[in-house]
Amino acid sequence: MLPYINYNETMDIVIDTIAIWTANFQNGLTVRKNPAGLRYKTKDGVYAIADKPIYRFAKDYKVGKTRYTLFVRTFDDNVGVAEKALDKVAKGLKEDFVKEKIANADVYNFEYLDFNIKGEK
Amino acid sequence: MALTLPYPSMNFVPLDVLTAAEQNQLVANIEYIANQFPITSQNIDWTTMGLVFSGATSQSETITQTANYQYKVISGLTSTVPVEPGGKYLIVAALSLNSTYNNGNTDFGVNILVGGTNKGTVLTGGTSYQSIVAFGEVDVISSTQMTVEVSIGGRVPGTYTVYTGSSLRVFRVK
Repeated sequence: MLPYINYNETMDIVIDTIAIWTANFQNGLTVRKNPAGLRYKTKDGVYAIADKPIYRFAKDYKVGKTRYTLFVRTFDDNVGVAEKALDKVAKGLKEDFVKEKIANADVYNFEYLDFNIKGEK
Repeated sequence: MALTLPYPSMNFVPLDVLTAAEQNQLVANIEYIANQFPITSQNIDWTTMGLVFSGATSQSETITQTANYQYKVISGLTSTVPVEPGGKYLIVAALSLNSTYNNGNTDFGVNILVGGTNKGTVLTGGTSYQSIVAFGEVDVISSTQMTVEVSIGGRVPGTYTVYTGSSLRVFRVK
């Protein structure tokens, strides 16, 4: 029997929502273009299949002695908008908050923050 | 120990879909790391180790093996060194030697013994002058000192001459 993974709770792509994870140890912004067909969750909690590519933007940051990654998935391929939003959110995060969020991070565990692709709550 | 992977700078975040090429690169990286062991002089970063003990033989020593599979300690390469409980140590014995045998079987080996237990062996063969490096690894749990010995012997009786300058070194792995 295959191990049970609750995809509904742990493996959802939420478009346009910034997430926090452990450091990726990369310099600058990294971009990944995923082809159409990925399953994602809308803001209303409804699952949908992407009919166009989804872009993933990620960037490493450091607060105090703690390194971490912020990433976001969006249909918009505008690199400038995504990086600006990630930078804006990173500026407002405190070390204790970051430590708490990435304490249990692994391949299946990360956390979405209450910020959208424009860096707004 | 800093390794340079064949495919450095791979980066992923959760829910990324990896291409087949990227998965191949991951496997290549894993295989590269796996192939770093066992320890050899090429993949040890000596700068990260603390030298605990370094000694060398001051005169040549002749050792006669009288029975099959008999190993004898080289007296010039024996020492009791201070260690820290919980530490990991690498022991390196570098020998210059000559060997002669009573018959044609020339296989012999060098053992590193810690407290009488073998912690590393290098097997070799031949009767001419040789340089041999043997490695041993030890995890010290609670002792504050350990006795390190280097022994030599082979499948059949023979005589070994260990030359001046053969050395025994103990490193603390940091």
